[in-house]
Amino acid sequence: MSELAISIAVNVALGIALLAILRWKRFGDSARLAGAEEAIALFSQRFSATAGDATVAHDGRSALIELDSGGGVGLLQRHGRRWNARVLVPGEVSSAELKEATVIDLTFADFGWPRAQIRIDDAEARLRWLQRLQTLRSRHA
Amino acid sequence: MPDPVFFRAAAIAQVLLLLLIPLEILLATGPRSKAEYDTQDTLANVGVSVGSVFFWGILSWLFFGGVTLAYAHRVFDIPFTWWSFLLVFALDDCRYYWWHRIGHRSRWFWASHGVHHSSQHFNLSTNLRQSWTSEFSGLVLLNVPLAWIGFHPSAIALAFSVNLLYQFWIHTEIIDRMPRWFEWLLNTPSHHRVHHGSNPRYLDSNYAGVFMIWDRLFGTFVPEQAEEPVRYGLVKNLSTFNPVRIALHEYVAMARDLLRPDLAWKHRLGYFFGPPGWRHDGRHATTAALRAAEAQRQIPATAASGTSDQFAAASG
Repeated sequence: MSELAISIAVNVALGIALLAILRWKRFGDSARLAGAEEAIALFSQRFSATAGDATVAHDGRSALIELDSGGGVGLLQRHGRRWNARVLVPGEVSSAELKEATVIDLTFADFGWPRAQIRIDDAEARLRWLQRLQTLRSRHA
Repeated sequence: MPDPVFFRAAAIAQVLLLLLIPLEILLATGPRSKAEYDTQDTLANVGVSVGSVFFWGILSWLFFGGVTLAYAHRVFDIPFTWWSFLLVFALDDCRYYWWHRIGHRSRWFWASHGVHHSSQHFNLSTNLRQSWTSEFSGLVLLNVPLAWIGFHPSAIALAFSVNLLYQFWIHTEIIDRMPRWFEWLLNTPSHHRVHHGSNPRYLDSNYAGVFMIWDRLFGTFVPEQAEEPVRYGLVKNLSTFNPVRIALHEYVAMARDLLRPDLAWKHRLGYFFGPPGWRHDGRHATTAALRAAEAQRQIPATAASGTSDQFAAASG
């Protein structure tokens, strides 16, 4: 068991050392979406579905995109230094609720992508997206 | 009981990790460096590694127990010499090829091995992102024949360790190509980048551990193409850095599929043993389906809907 404890300790020490080096070398992420056009362009790199109206979140790290075909909603979300894209269709969303007045809180029945939080400052757009996403909830499927 | 030589090899591997990962991070800051690190991704790799080491520690008896038991009933007495070690190393590398291939082609085994492929980055720290359940999956049985033939368990464990040590350096974007003879004979960063690609062209290829000859022999070799940069990660990418979610995500997805109501047993077996991306309704997102869709320049229906598909759009 001592070997196991040493191995785990080595990993923990490695993690601490790497964190220090990565912070020092500034390997964090500061990318932000410039606007709806960029969000649609990034989304289109992965999905051929025609994209329509898009709303970029307040922090520029996620976006909701209305898709012209298939009845779904496109979701673009920053994941570290990558953009993840996904199409939300009916039955996909476990819950869609408003949180802290301006944040749409989405949960998915997906252990590998469990949630998304999108702050939208524009009240009209926020309400429209919330209602749209609520139609995709499991119980509406 | 495990032979101490195994732990010495593991200790050497960890020292290499300690020395080479920071070095690669420093090299990654160069203006022309291809290497890329992400703080959260790297820390997630370390987190997964802690769990992997822990579960290896408590489940390694399955490996050592299996080979020790088989060795007790061995057919030949093969001495532990330099020539027998070279022989067992080559045979174990073939064993690794099939272990790896099965790990990609059947969902039960992919649920374990896919963890290693779940990072959207490819650097030396990706080595740390290892399965928590490799011994549990059953593929450990592939180690048994070598012991039954008569190779000493210590020789098998050492061959296994050296094989894994070799694979450490090939997880990098810093090295472009090795000399031609080297690329033909041995596994290299270029070959292994392809193996970690989620591009349909690159899926399910280059399973080799050390000798590339197995892929060439069994028809799974795919060269890296300059016109198609590798897109690392899964066909269905994760959006979490939580080590527990990373380590168990495919098991949870598989359980959800298996527990669907009104499925025939053949469908449940398909979700369990079928290739990753197999679906009972025929809307597969398997390698074959993705390649066919790519050929038509289309994304398959399953890739455009539901939880089954998320893609990573690479961007700086």
